[in-house]
Amino acid sequence: MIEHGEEGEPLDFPAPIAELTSLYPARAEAEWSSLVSSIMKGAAPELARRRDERGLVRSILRWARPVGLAAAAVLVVGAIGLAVTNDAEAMVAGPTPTFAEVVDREPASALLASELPPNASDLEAALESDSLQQVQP
Amino acid sequence: MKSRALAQEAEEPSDADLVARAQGGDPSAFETLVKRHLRAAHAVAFAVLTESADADDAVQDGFLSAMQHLDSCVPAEKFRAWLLTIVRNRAFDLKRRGRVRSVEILEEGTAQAHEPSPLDMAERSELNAQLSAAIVTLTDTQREVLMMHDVEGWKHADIAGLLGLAESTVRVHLLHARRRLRTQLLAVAPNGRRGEAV
Repeated sequence: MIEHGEEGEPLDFPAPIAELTSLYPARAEAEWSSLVSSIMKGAAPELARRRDERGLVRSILRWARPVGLAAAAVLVVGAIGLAVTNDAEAMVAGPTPTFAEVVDREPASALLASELPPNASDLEAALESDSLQQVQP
Repeated sequence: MKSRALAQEAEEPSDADLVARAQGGDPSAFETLVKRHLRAAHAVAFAVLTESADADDAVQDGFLSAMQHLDSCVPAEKFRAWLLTIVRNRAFDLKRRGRVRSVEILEEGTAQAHEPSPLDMAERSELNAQLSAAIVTLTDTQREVLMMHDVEGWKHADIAGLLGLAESTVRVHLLHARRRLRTQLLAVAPNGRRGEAV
């Protein structure tokens, strides 16, 4: 059975070469800081560009909200006005005529009220209009 | 002590928060990201280039490239892995360019460009020179795995994640790297290079 050491490596796994660390000596903190400074210096134009871009978007968004609200209000007012106008027109027009009235046929009740004897065609038309009225909801 | 560490963790903004702020051009957020991942990035670059100054260049280029393409870091929580991949690719680019430059120099008849100058030799210890010579004989992957694991102390899983390899493959690369390096060092040591260097 193979025995395993740290990190699951077999015990006969070659040991690390200790001197290898000398290839990568510890750096002074000042060297790291200098590297950070040069990176930040190089990144400054890109960061500034992004700030400007963000500022432009923000100013557009700042105006977009009130403009959007105003447009919505205009739409609502317009819709209400249109609805009121339509209702008024409908009131002037009166109730919807029946089919028989549209085709200018007198109903049987009108013929009976007139006390005149209907002829055959009047009777036929009156019966037809009554049956149509019954069918209508 | 533990609660203090937890409190500090809670205070520190996550990478995702810092990335979001840096995307809006916040310099302090980007600086925090740089400071947080600088050493890991340097280790990755150094594992490829084996020269600290070259690694600095790769790290700087990598961070600047990351800043320019920060919007493509999705999800932002993966910033570290994303950044290290950029730095590693940049290090390989620099290495390729360095090779091209070396070939051009050799073609111009200045073969001595490969020989370390007396100043370099004075600055670099003999052991470092031997190690550097030996480490060049490793493959790129072997060298990366060896440097990250044995020098930087990274775990197999972290190396595997960065290099896109299985953990078992990382172990195999480490095994071969150590064996090869040891063989190279043993081959160099008895030749009295110590005397030549001084």
